[in-house]
Amino acid sequence: MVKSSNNFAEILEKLLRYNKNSEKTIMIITAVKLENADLSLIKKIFSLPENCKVVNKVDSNILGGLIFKFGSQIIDLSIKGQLKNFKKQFNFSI
Amino acid sequence: MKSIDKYLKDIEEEIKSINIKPKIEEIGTVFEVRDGVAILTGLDNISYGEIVEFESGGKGYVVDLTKDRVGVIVLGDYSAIQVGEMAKSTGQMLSIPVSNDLLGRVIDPNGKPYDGLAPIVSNKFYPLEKIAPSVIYRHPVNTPLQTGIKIIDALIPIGRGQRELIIGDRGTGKTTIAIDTIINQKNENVICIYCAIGQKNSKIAQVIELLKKNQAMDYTIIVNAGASDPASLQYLAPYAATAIGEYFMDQGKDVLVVYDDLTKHAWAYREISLILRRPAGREAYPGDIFYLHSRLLERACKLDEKYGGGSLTALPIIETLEGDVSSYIPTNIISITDGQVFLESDLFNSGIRPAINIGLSVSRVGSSAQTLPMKKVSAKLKLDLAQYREMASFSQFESELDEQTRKFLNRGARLTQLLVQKKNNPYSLVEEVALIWAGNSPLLDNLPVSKITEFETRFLAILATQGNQVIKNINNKKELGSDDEKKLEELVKKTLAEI
Repeated sequence: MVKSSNNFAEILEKLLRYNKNSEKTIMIITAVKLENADLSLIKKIFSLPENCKVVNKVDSNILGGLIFKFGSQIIDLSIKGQLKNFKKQFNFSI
Repeated sequence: MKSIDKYLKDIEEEIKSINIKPKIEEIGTVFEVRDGVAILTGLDNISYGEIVEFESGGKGYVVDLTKDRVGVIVLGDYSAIQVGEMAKSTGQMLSIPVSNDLLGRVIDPNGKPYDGLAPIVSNKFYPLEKIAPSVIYRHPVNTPLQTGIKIIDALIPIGRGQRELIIGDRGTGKTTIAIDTIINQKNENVICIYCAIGQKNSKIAQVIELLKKNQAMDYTIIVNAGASDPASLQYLAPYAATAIGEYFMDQGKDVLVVYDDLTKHAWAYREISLILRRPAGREAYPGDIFYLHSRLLERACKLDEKYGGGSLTALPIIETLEGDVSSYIPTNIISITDGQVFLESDLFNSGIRPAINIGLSVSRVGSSAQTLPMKKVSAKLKLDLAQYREMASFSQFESELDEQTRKFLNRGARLTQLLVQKKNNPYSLVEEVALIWAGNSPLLDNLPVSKITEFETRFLAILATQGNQVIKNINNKKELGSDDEKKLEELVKKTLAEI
């Protein structure tokens, strides 16, 4: 995931550029609560722009990883999402 | 143990090979669930006609975009969807998987098979909603679609690429005409698609049995959205059938699609529109009920040779109430199609089956979709029957009429009886031409009407054994010369001698 951060930054930039004028915050959904230090680390790794507001929401259903939610769009990097993908792939190959 | 280890290893390989790429997905939340319709919030960047996937597994089709709500019709069972559930956009338009393996199968509008055999596997998808081919892609209809029904092939001929409406009250034989046409395409190299909308599953089972018995399932596909299926599937079934038809048409083949029936299709669409709170118009139908059918039927066409030369013939069926062809939906479809076959319960009950009213039936393609022999014999038939219809009201005064009128009435009664045929019993082109020629000639004038059916059976038997030259000429050279006519005269006289 970290290796793909450049690609990720592009995607996020697209998102933010698209919704430039609306006052939306980026919601990060994680399975466990994130400390402020963790949030700033995430901001650094994923190259989030400094001026955007970041809110953390806890949802244990996602099992792990994180989901970026921005308005009506999401980038799903959670374990639950990946498991769903696997399920779909397996159904296809059978 | 070894096999389990192997399976685990295979699964590990699969997981490693799956590529995970972060991508943006459009999501929404279910706000309301109504009968077959879900209202969502979110999905800010979704387009009309996209497919959304619900968290609980079902799929939905976007049909309503308002300021802050998205209306989605649920493709399938909506009872599993809960309020607050997440729905993700798939980014794809509504399509159906198509392949040559569809022949002989019974499927639902989503492409899932009903017949318990293997699922349809395909990497080719055809969109359900498509803009009909424009003028430049089309070619005028010039090839006949033989229905095997004497009265239709002679007087209201259907061509490949035409839309011909079959309209009548309940129980007048509309589905029978469609099924007989499908059965008759056995050696004609035409792919048939029977689209059942809102029909009883028992009726569909009977249809499948009939087609199997007549070896017609090999070239037929059945798209079924039964009466107990959700209105969304009944709404989409005709479009799914047309999409499959277009797949075969693009390969240069001739396709026949039967929509049975569009009345129930209009009802399903009315149901969905009312649930979506769209304004109700005449008879509570929504404002775009005409567009619903016109965009469907316009996709039936004959393509120009440059674009493959394939064709898609549509036989929509409409059920009227009390013979009222001037009500809303029938008049809409009559104005869209290239003609209609009008069935009457009075004719049906008096034993004239197929119960076609020749006066009100028309085919706007007409004789450009007829072979030369048929054109020759049907001209006189048309005239005689028209004269008979005009004088039919005088038949009650039979004893007081002059010779000429009595002759017309006799001729007409004989011809009408000659055109009667049993169901699921299609006639070949040769048999039709020979019988109508016999009816036109004065040779049958002294035969009582009750003996016409016997004459028909015997004549066709004699023709099959002794008329080989005539059969060859009509089938291969597509002509009826004077020698052929002399031979037919000889055979008719022989048959009359036997009776």
